[in-house]
Amino acid sequence: MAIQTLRPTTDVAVASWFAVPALGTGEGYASRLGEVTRNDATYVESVVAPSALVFAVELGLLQDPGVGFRTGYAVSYVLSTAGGALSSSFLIEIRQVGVSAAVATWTELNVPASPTLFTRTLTDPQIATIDYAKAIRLWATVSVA
Amino acid sequence: MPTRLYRLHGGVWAPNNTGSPPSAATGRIHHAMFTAPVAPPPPEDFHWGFQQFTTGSSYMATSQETPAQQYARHQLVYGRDDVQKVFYSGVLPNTWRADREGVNTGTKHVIVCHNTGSPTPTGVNQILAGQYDTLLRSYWRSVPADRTVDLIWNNEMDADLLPSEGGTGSSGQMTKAQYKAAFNHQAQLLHDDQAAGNVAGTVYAMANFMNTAFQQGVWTDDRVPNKADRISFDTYMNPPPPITSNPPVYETTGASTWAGAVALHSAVAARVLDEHGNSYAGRWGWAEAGSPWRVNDVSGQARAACYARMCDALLASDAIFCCLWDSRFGQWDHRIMDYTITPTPSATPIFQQGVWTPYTSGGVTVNKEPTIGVLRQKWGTA
Repeated sequence: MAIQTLRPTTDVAVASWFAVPALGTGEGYASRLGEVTRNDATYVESVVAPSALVFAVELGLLQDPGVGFRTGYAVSYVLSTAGGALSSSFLIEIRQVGVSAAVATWTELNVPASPTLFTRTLTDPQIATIDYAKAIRLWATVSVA
Repeated sequence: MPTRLYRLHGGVWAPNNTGSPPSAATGRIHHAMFTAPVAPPPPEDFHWGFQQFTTGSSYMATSQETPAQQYARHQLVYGRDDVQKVFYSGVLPNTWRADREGVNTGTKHVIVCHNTGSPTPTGVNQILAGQYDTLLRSYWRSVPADRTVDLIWNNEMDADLLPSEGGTGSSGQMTKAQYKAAFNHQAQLLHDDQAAGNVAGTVYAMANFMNTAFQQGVWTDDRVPNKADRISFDTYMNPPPPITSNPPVYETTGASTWAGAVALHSAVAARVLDEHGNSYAGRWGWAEAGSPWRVNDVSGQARAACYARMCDALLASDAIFCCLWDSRFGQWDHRIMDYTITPTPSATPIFQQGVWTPYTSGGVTVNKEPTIGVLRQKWGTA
């Protein structure tokens, strides 16, 4: 079974975040997350002690694989904390342009200091809510103390 | 006490002179991606294609591309173009036209439409009297041996039926019986010629209908000529807002959303097989599908995705071809080109022609992605 992969392509909400390495002309924050080969040395970082700070990027359109193949959808992301964080909460949401309700949400608590891979799969009911004519967005709401 | 450093917004390290441990805690996101299965590529015997126009028709004057140019563009942009639909608004030519229906040098499959005679009682009588037999024989005998032709007489016949016979237009003149008699006359002529070994190419008599007839609830089995080798439907994805300058026959009645349009067309696909007891499985397809620029889809992404989903319905229903109406003529531009229009078509006429500029999103210029990419993935050419 061939797999389609959507990666961050466009910035949606990036205020109070900065990119490592710093962005060059014409670069977006999304470029720090969307490399084909995972590179933990590139990332986006929040301001100090963020409280419900939003970071959102667009991943583009998902092609409908058709009846019988709408399964096994997965989202993966690599998170970490820095600065001696004692507690953290990353609310990760898959959203779609123009749709208020999230397709799926996960909350990652007490994320460690070392980059950690989280892989989450969508349930069939969650997959059934996807509108393939609307772009997919990854939405993170981050609190760290 | 040693000076402690903590990180400020922007990654700058600064001294902490407060004497108390500051919170330097931050959150980082290093990588993200979304994965899902891809639909399997269509079977090799399913033909994806596009419309083409010919001189001699009312379309050519404004289509702005020759068949060869259009075929070349499709090969370049989409990666494949398996079947084209070519129009002769009047009679068939005497011989095969290599520069028109012959431009497909790949699969060598073409749909040829003609209105030999005319879709009127007078035209039907002329056909039944054999007035065009010599011309018709001359044409299909000239089809090269390696070519496949789906030959349509009276494309979108539903609009030419009398309203009292379930016609979708207001000026139709034929009865269903007259249409079928004229079609069957030509089909029998073809079959007899094939049986006599006079036809080198592969030629099918194909009947063509409009999805609108389904939507209006007037389509019935008894408009299919019993000598048709294949059947096809022309269908469009036109959810509101209304195409005010369009004939109403092209509206997707009842479809308030793109998904609604897909559902309607999927229902047609299912009904074709149901009504014919699968007798047309492997012998039918959509000869036209697509949508012009919409005010709610300036980028074309929704149209491409909708079309891809419509094709899923075909693949699930044993269809063998689907042609995307991908031409620009008059004020309608159905092409899917990853380009938007300036100014944005926000008022009538919706399909105004303007200056084509690269599609941008979030400050990013998109080049052949994701709109074309949706179709290339569908066609296995990504």
